[in-house]
Amino acid sequence: MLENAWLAWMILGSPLIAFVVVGLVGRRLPEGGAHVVVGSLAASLVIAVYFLVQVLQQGAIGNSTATTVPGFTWIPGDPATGEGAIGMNLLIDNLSAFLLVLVSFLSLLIAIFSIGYMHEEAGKPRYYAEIALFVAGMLGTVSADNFLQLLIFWEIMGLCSYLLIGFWYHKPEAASAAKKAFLVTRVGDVLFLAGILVIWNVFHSFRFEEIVQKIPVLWGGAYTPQLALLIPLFLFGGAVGKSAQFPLHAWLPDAMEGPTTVSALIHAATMVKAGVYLTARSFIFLVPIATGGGILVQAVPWNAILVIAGIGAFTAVFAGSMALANYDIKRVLAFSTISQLAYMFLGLGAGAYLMASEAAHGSTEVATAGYSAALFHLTNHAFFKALLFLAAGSVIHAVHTNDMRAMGGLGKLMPWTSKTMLMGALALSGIIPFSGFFSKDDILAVTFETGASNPLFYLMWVAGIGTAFMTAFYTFRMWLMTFHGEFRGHGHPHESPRVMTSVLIVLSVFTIASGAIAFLTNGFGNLIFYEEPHAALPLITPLLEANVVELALTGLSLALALAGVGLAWAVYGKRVISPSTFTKTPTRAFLHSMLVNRYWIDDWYNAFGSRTVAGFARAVDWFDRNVVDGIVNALGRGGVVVGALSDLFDRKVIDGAVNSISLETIRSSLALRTRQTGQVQNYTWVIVLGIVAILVLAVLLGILPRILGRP
Amino acid sequence: MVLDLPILSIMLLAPALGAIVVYLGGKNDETARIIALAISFIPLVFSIVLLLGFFPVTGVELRGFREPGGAFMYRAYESAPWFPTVSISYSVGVDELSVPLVFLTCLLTTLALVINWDEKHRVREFYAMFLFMETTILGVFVSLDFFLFFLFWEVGLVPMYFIIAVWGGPRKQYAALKFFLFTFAASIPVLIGIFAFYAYGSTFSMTQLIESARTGGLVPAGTAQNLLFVALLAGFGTKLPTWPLHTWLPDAHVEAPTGGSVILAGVLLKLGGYALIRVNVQMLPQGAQDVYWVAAILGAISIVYGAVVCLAQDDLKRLVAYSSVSHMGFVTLGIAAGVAAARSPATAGGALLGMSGAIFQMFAHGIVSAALFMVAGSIGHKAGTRNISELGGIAAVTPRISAFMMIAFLASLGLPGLVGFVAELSVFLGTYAAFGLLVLIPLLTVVFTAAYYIWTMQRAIFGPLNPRWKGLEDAHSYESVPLAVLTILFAVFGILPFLLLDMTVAWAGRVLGVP
Repeated sequence: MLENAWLAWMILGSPLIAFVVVGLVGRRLPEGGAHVVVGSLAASLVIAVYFLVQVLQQGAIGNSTATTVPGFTWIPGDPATGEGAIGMNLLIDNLSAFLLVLVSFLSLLIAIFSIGYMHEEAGKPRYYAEIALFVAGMLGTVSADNFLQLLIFWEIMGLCSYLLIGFWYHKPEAASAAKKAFLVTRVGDVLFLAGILVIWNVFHSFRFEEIVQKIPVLWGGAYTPQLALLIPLFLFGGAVGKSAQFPLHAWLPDAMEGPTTVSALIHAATMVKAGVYLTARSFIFLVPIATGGGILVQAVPWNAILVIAGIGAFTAVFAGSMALANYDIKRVLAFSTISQLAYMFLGLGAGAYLMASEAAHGSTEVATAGYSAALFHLTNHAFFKALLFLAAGSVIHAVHTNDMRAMGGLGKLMPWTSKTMLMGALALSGIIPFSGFFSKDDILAVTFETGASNPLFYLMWVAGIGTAFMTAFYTFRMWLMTFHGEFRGHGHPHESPRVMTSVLIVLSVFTIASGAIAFLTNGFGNLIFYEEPHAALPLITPLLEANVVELALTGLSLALALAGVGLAWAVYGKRVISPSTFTKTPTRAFLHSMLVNRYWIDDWYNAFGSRTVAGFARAVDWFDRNVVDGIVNALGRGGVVVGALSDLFDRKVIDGAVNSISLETIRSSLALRTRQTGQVQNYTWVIVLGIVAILVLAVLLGILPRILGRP
Repeated sequence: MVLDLPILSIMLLAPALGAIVVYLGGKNDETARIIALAISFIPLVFSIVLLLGFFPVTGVELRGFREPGGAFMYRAYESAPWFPTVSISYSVGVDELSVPLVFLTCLLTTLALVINWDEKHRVREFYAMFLFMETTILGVFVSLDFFLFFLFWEVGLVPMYFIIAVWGGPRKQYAALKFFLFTFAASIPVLIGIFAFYAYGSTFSMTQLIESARTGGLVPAGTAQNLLFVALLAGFGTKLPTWPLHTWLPDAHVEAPTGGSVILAGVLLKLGGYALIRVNVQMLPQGAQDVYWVAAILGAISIVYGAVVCLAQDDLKRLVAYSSVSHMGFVTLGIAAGVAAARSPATAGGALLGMSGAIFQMFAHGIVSAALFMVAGSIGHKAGTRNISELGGIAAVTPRISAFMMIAFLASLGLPGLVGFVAELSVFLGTYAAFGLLVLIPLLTVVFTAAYYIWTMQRAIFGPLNPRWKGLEDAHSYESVPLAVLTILFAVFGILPFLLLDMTVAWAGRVLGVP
């Protein structure tokens, strides 16, 4: 149990309060309420650290117990038994405690950076209020104790990304990018929701812990093999949308239309990482579950795991290739995010597969190296991508463009930005000893090891090391085009203010240091793990065990990364190879334009949306106006004729007070044209008469059965 | 604290008498408005008291009534013989099904009076008409006697007819007549149904009919129940409206004044959903079990069809009207899912959520569509056009109304944290329980719904400002206040849905015979 567990609510409560305060009175606060938001995030960070320390102390490292912080019942369950109730509670275990610290820390840094970056913006209160809600959404996502609560905060975060991407809503590109982000992730969200529906109907619960307990009980009953396959696939669909994996990747590069600080937030600690987090939480559906009498291997959805790993491996190459030819500094970083996230999915998939196949072969040792490696990469990527984006923001702040062709030579003018960004670039490229190297190597090692169980993973491993080469190339292409050579733009760029560069310096320290977490904790798997902790030091373990194969693999991926850096240097640094070599022959030019145009996928999506869907909608609309309504109107005309005939019949044949009153109603209803211009007194009269008529009619009808002989 | 006042009679009488007072006593337009608004607070306050009566925590106790040996409890019950020879009585009361709708009616009437504060044409009559309409709508929700029920059901058409026909837009006569004829024609099966119930049960007392239906002693199961179910589904479904009986709705909304649209979408449509549960489900339980699929198919078609047609709309009001068709489809689908899932103990939990989701959706759609029509009306009023393609970038000049529009759109497209999500989630959970993966058909419309709203915002309020709207006025206080009230309610019921669901789930359990 944790001490003062209720305080955990304040981790997300604090930015929520800031959201309300800044939203209501931000206009009257200095800097649009920036300090309120910074303060609230600092408070979140302090509380989150408090819980992380408790979690680590309690079970020491590697023996953490999950604690549920109770909230309230959101949707009641069965009135008699309470089964199926849906609650709002927090879950504090090693994963969530760690991520709460990571998210609040990075968001805090980004909020501080914003004070300088957004200083001259008019809409600051709106910006800070939305940032606060955004972070609250992410904090809620990673601390939810059940899938539905996760979805709720996940969508709140999605809303904020929509609002922040469209921050400059008067720009058509920004409005369009915001729409795209919302709708494309919405497709994923619907799949997530479908998964939610299946989960509740099978388990009558959304809670991770309860589901794990119920899987062995319900297996063979309500939990069928088909559903075991469907649930993780549906959930992964949500992750694909949120984490911008193929084929729902199209929104992320466009999302660069928002302020750069927002991009940093989306890419570093929030939003896109939520997809990886969801997949990590859905491990309970992927890996064998330990039961009283053994391990339940039959429930493992092998094909779902292959899909997750396969999408990861494919997207890594696919997105990496699109970064090769882009000239927009932020878009290069965006494609790299997609590609790096794909590594994480590859790691999770390979890890789950390995774990399942070892259990299938009777091994009782649980190997969750892939799980830990993916989350290790998530951590490292959070630091270095925040650094890269904020440094890019610092550059854009100085040169007022995203186009790298109008940059160059900024290294001399912006020394701090240039040096800190170099740290980030080295980490992203996976050069030893920067953080990215360790986690990426972990993921590739697990993928290779899984190849022994299923050769497809060898193919994915090849994709992984190929991506490593491309990553190094495009990262250094970007860095060199920005900072090396002569300045090609206009104006006189200068270094950014202290509030911005100091954040860059802090981040570059962490970019180097985050890799060291693994050494501090005797392997990241001792800190973040699934079920059982495990010591697995990157690089060190194989060295100690003198495992030649693993050492050779590590050497190979490192060599490829260095080759990528070298090629970038040759082209954009030393200029011994001209960039025009890449477009010399028609084939190369075609490939180049294919990459620049992102394989034309966005064009297809746009055409599908604006032609196919909109055309279909217009067709249905025509059907509604002309066919459905047409039939009705025709019937109506028929009805009017019948009405007129009966009116005639009434007048000619039947006489009497009651009838004339009801006739008056019918006539005034049908032939209102004559009354329309007339006196309102008439209308009132008609209403009174109508009521009387209906009363009389009803009384008559009520008495009718009596007359007809009923009691 | 036991309240022994004739609360419901006061709530029914106050607006009706108030209508006369406003009409006769309003010396000028301003006094008429203020009197009408003051009177509308009487039922509103009492409706809150009624709501509190359903939460034991509050200590408010209302007079309860239960048929001897019956399963259902009614509160604030009043009864007096009226035509004893045919067992017609003046019986009113509320239960967990009707009390949210009673509150909704009172709330939206007050807000509708405020939102039309600048109406200049025949103000006294206008306000009197709204108050009179409130009585008739409340009458339907609280009547526990079929005769009374039908009386209010029919009379309710008249004020809405006039509100459209006198204070409406350019094609008001066509729209008003269409509205009247549609709903009037739909009353025919309702009337037949009521007589059938009388023929079988020899009473107009709805409480007695419900109890005898529950024990299987009313309409014989089989063809008789099934036929009645379908006939009443057509009758109530027109009001709802369900596809393909929905075409009166877009025309009526486009022509109606803003306050009229608020009441029409917010409350009048709910009469259909309410009656569907009260009559079709409660009085024809076996028929519902046999032919629930008709309702399920109609509901699913309405959801998908409404959303697709929305994508092609340019007029904001037409857009919102079709979105109502789509969202009211959730009510039909939720009811059908609840009935279908209740047949097996394994899916009973989903049944409760499906039925409760339908009730919750009526409430949610009530407040959301009211806000949507307020926004559309306000923009149309000030800009002189509601065409999305003619607007553009107006968020720059009208930040308030744009913000309200966005919040209402988000609530309507089912954003978690706001009220619409809870309703859709419950209905979807129930639909999966009843029909399995067929739920994907209505589920995928969620993308369409997001698409038409998000696309509309992109074109109407975002992007570069169309120079034509440089001087466009932002929302007045009489528009901001009702919208702010509704916005707060979106969040309250979106974050704390158990406020309603606690009681509706328990009630649905009794209706569906699930423990």
